Parts: sequence; structure tokens; C-alpha cells
Amino acid sequence: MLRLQKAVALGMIAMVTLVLAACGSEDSKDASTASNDTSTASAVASTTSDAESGDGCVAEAQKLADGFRADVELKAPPTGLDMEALKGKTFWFINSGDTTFNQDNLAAFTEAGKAAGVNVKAYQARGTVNGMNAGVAQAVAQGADGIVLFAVDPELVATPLKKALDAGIPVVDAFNGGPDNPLDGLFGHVTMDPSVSGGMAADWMLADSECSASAAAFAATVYQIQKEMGEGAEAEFKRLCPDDCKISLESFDLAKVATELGTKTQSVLRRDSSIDYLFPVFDSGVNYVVPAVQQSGRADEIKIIGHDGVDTNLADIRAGGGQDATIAFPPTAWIGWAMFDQLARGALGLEAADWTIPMRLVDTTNIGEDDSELFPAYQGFQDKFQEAWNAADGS
Amino acid sequence: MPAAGRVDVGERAAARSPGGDDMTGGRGPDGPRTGFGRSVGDFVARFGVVVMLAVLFIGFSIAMPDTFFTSGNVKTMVNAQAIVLMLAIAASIALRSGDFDLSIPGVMTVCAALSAILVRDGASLAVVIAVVLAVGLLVGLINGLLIVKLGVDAFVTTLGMLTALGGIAYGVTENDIIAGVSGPIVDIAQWELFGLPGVTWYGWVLVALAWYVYERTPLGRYLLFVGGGRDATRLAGVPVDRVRIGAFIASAVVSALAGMLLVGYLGSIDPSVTNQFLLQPFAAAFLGATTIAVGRFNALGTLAGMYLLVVGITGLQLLGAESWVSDVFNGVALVLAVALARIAVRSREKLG
Repeated sequence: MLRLQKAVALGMIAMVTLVLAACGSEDSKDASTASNDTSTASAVASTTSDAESGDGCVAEAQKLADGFRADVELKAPPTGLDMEALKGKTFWFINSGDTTFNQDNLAAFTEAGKAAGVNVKAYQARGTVNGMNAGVAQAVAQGADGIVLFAVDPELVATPLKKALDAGIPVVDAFNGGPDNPLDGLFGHVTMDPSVSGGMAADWMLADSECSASAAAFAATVYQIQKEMGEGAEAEFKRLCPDDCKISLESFDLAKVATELGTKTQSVLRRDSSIDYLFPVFDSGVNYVVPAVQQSGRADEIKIIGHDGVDTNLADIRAGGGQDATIAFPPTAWIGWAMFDQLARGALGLEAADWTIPMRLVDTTNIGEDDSELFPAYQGFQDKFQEAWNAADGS
Repeated sequence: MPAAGRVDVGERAAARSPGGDDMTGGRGPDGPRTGFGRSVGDFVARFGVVVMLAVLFIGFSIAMPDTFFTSGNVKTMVNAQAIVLMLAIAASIALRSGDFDLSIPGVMTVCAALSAILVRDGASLAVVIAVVLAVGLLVGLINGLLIVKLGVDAFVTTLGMLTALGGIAYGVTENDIIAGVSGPIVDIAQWELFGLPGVTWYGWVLVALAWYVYERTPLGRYLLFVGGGRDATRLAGVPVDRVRIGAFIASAVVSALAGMLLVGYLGSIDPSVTNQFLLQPFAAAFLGATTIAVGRFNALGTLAGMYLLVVGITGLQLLGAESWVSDVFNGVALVLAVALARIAVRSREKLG
């Protein structure tokens, strides 16, 4: 009995120690967040000398946000392609998961392949590292003419990727980090600039709050792209409003998003009652943040900005629901065609194009009546791509 | 109805007494037979999964001779599953002794993360192996003591351990992917023989070792008896507690080594992979218990179960099936195999 009591006592001490350690790390994280000096936001906009003053911050944040709300011009292939040489080739699309975004990109990539006479083979990794490795190995084994790694981190498939590169197979990575990430043998990137995206969200929060925002960004920081988005927002807060505003970067496990993100949101709101802006760095995450905010009883005080421009989230913004803004991608189909163009350039021995994905800040002021109004220049982009591919400089 | 945290596959009635054999009620698949119907029942019960594997492989090969029936594809299939195979064998150890050990992918991930960090910091391979073995030993011992000596439910204990280890993996890696791992740890995982990397050979060697222990040593039979009926086994003089604790330790050590080899094979580790390696090893182990030595968690059956799943999924992928079809295949194959084995055993009992 005495032994049992001792064990219980030791267990309680261990639990208390663990809780105290966790509290300590939380504090230190906030401190490190506040002192974190990244320069990524410099890509968002030119620096201003008077940004540190309150008025300067409001003016610049407003100006930047207005700029990010503006229409986005169509980005089309920079040069033509030798379409005859492309015909009959086989491209492999290694798909990280089964989300609608993934599947829509695959469908668009396949559509572009059909238009160019290229066979497209898809490998569904189903969110597993094992599957990702098997997919790349399979593509190499089947003699692929090109491979797209769609949200498949090249570092996690290093072994089969080396075999692909040794075999001379061009590999394009998509959504694995910023456009300036080292290529390390890859042919090219197709991705948005996550630091810029984070900065855009920060500018919206700063402009909307007139530089008094107290915010929390939620990111699965194990993924470079989400980490850079969170850090981009932090850097922009620090650049424009270092004294009167604050933002903390909260990490969570993407594999447990459904159970963890809502709880984390409630904890963050309880920990800091001054928070009035939340930035989950992907729209699907907003779906878990909104109920948590509602349960906190502070839905009227807290504004939420997401990222991606998922149609259901856009509808929510349009309807005045829980989400207030998002950083939207152009139509998903365009991204699929851009990936195809990049890989085709690799397969034809051309130089890689700059396929940094342009983003648009969308809130109630510019959302319009229908999603098709968000990127009007991208209507019928497929014809523009084919015109560009068939231009005389391609053959 | 098995107690929570206790494994009972089909009818392990025979194994409930040390003198018994398997789910056939002590007669075993090699017991007296009474005609053609019984023989067919025996065959279906013992080799259904193997036959399904052969049928699928041949079918996909005929349908896709240029893509499926190639050495490149076969190598890809076996290489990709090497780590899962090791975990499936690890799972089968505790399952054979009647316990669940859900913590195996957690041990794997933590040891993979520790290996990556140690290698990055310049530790020698010997140090990495020592640390990995120590972690495996420790986790297995904690699991074993909590479950066997304290009587905490195995399912709950190892689920808690899985969760804790998953968190520790994030802590060790500081929420980051550790990439660019190189040196001897990569060499021992990636050396090649007949075009297959070391990690694949280790998986097969482990299967052979497990087969030998399970089928040819007293320890293998002790595990089976303990899994079938602890009280009767204890009365027969078998050190039940030591066998069970040993099973948890062996399961964790195998998982720990699998983690080290995972890093060597991939050259990186993502701390979020833990749950990705949870379902498949157990599916393979349960599928394996429906074949070859029916009603027992056995090594060759686990191998066959593993490859049945991978052949099916790869074939469907190459045929261009929608991704959800893979999940349906996984689930249906498992349920169907278990159901068929059960039907075969029942019909055999009626005939016998």
C-alpha cells in the first residue's frame, strides 16, 4: 500500500513538473517569437522609414492591402514548346494526399497533358511517406519522362529521387516551400511565395485594426511552406508595428488537425484575452478554428483570415460567416496547367520558367457575387496556354 | 469475447491449453481428415491469402505486362514495404502472446529521430545502435511492467505510449524534418544485393528469424500458449509474466531498429509519420493469422498478408483506379480473409 502511495505521489510530481515545463516552454516561445527577426517580409513591399510610427504603419498597411486586393493579371507560358516532341511522353504526378485541392490539381494536370498529347500517370501517396517514396520509385521503374512532386517534400523522398535525377528524369516540385528554395538537382518549382502570403495576411490584419492587432497564426511548422507563412506574418508585424501589435506563431500537428486545432485555438484565446485576429494558414483549418472561436463567446470580437481561397470558405466570407478574409490562389486548374508547362520545359531541355503563383487578398470589399469574378483574367486561360505553347519560338 | 487489450483471433481454443495446437481445436490442419470436403476446407483455411496473392499477381501481370510484370515494379513493391514488414513482425510478437502493442510506430519514429540527430551531430554508428537498442529496451520494459506487473490494460498503456512517443519525436526534432542524413547509417540500409537494398533483406531475415522462433523453438510455443490461456499455461509451469514482458521488449527493440533503418533508407525523418505506420502492420499481422498457420500470428502468414495488400494496391494504382479504391481493397481484403478462414474452419469442424 505504501508502495502504491509512493508511486501515486511520484506520478503526481511528474505530472506537475511536466505541466510547469510546458508552461515554461510556452513563455519562452512567445519570447522567441517576439524577438524573431526574419527578413522575409522585405519581399512583400519596400520598406518605409516612417512605418514605425502609428500613422505610418496604418498608411502603409492600408496601401499594401489595397494593392493585394487588386485584380491579378494572367500569368501565361513565357515561350512556346515543341509540341511534336512532347507527344507520347509519360509524366508522373506523385500526389501527396487526397484533398480536393490535390485532386483538382491532378485533374488539371491531366487535362493539360491530354491537350499536349502526353500520358499522365498518377500515384496516390495517401499522405504517407512510405507511399511518396513508393510513388517516385515506381515512376523511375516505369521509365517516366518527367515527375511532379505535388506537396511531396523532396527531402522525404531523397533515395528514389536521387535515382530519378541520376536517370536524367526532370523533376518539378510543387508547394514544398518558396520559389527561392535551392533546387538541388530538381528542374524547377511551382509554388506561391509563402513569406509573401504571410505578409499579405499580416498587412490585412494591420490595416483592418489600424495597427493595433493582437494576433495568433496557426501553422503546422514541420512543413516548411506553412512555417514560412507564419514567419512571414511575424516579420511583417515586426516591420510595420513592432511596438503596438503582436503576433504569436502556434504550431500544431497537421495529422491531428481535426482534434488538435480547435483545442489549440481555445487554449490560445484563454491564454491571451487580447487576441482579436487569428490566421490559420490554410482555409481548411479555418473550419476548426471558427467553432472554437464561437465557443469562446468572442466571435464578435475576433476576425479570421485564412489562405488558399477554397470555394466553401469564399462562400462563408461572402455570406458574412465566421471567416473574414483569405489569400486566394488563382483557379486551381491554372496551377495544374502551370505545373505541366514547367515539367514540359524540363522534358524538352528548356530553361525553367518562373511559375511563382500570384495570390490575391480577398475580403468582403472585393469578393463579388461569384468566385469567377475573383480572377477575371484567368477565364479561358487554357486557350492562352495553348496559344503560347504553339507560338513560333517553341519548335 | 476477449478482454479489452487482449487479442483473440478466431478460435484459438487449442492454444488455450499448452497441449493444444491452434484454432482447429487441437486437431490442427494436419489432423485426421475425412474426405474431399475437409481437404478443401483445410486448403482454403491455410492458403486462402496465398492463393489470393498469386491470383492477383498473375491477374495484374496479364493485364499490365509492361508495367506491373516488370522487375522494377516488383522491386519497388518489396522495397517500399520493408519497414512496414518489420513493424508487422514486431506487432505479431505481442499479438502472439495475446497482447496488443500499439506503441511500435511511436518507438520507430522516436528512434528514427534520435538516429538522425545523433548522425547529424557526428555520433558513430555503434553509438546510434546502442542508443536505439536502449530506447527499445526501455520502452518495452515500461510497457511490459505496466501491463504485466501492474495489470494496466495493454491497449490503453501502449496507446498512451504511442501518443507520448509521437510527441517526443516532435520534441527531439524541434518540430522539423531532419534531412540530409548520410554516412554508415545510410550504407547499412541501402547496400544492394540483386538490386534490392539492405533494408529489404533485413525484413526478410527478420521474417525467417521470427518463423524459426515461432515454429521451431519452445519460446515460440510458449508465446502461443500464453496468448491462448494464461492461467492454464501458468499451471503448466511456463513463466507467463516473463514471456509477456519479453514479448513487449522484443517488439519494441525490433521497432527501434526499424526506425534506425527507416532513417538510413530515406535519408530523412519527418516526426509526423508515426500514425502512418500504425494500421498497415497490424492489418498484415491479422491477415497473416488467417493463413498458413491458421489462427496463430505467424511470420510467413504476415509476409503473405503484407504482400497481398501491396500487390493489390499497386496493381489498382497502375490500373488508374481512384485512390479511394485502395482503402476499400485494404478493408475488404482483411475482412474477407478473416471471414473465409472462419467459414473454412467451421465447415471443417462440421465435417470432422
